Amino acid sequence: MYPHERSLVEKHPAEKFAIVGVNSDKTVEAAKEAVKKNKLSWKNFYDGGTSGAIATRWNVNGWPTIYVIDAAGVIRYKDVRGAELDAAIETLLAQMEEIGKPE
Amino acid sequence: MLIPSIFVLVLLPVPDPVVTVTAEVAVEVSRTDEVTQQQQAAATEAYEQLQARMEEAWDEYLAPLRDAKTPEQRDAVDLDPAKSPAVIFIAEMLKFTKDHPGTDACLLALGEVIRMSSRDENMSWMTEEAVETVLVDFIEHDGLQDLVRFAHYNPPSTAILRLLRGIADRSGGRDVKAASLYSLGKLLGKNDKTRREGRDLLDRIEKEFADVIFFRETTYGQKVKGDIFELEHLQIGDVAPEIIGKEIAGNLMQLSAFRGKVVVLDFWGNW
Repeated sequence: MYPHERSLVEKHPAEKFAIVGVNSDKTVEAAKEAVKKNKLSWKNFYDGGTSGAIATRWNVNGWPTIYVIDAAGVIRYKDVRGAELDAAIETLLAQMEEIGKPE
Repeated sequence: MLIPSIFVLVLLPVPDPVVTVTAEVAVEVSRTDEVTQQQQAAATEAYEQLQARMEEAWDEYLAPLRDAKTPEQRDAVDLDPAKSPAVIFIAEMLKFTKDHPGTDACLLALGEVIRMSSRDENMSWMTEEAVETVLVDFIEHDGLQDLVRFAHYNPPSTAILRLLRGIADRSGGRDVKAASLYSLGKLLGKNDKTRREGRDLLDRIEKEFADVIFFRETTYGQKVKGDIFELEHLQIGDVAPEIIGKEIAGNLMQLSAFRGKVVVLDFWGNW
């Protein structure tokens, strides 16, 4: 998972694409260590364990859980992985371009 | 020391009630009245052996994944689905249910058959057969709660839905009813066409079964709260609910600050 995510961040420009993590490790030290070890360059909320407020509200019962959100803040895909995740991001980036074009 | 004789006096009347209780149990399990204690014990032993053999086969099958040292090596492992222990052992499990009908172990084996077969359409006849046996032979069995508690992790096949509806309608136990209605509600909630019915079932659980234990210390009341929020606000097409919190480094951060970008929101943990 980490190498794939790193490649996504490298591939897409930062002004159009971001990964936002919600980390559910038991301690913030463990979370920091995991970020360092796996060279994660993106921002992560720290949720204070698997029963944290964010994971509870988002009804997350399994990790990892993935949501893909478009530029307007709308949930567009849930639990896509691998090639499916790549395609989902490409589709949303292309739609962004389409909307951004002048008439 | 007078105590021993007092004990004797107190203990004397005990044998009578014991006999009565045994008789009551015998009447209660009349559906499976041919099953003797010896048959139960033999079935349990045979089932444990079958389980042990299956675990060994899984261990061997998954060894390449276990031996992979890097994420790249893991990705390169290519397991042959035709050689999956699920394919081999599902037939053995089905045979087991025929060899040991009506036993507790039979119900466990039926659960395995349903779990393994429901992922593959070619095996749907096995799911259907196992579901039928559960509904006819085990409808009053306490073990049904374990069978349906996590059934919402199965694909929503016709057979699984029939199993859950059947148990919800016919089972007398409140725990079993709650578990089957919950799994049914979750499965129906995943599909656009049946989402409304799924939502109604979750509402019903909140009203009637909120105090029933789902697992460990979690009640169905706590469980459905999150599920109802998910159905209302976390579906494809919904605006992502705001998240305001501290990032790992301690700074405040909010999800909506990423508007204007495509965002992959990733719930993860390093364990």
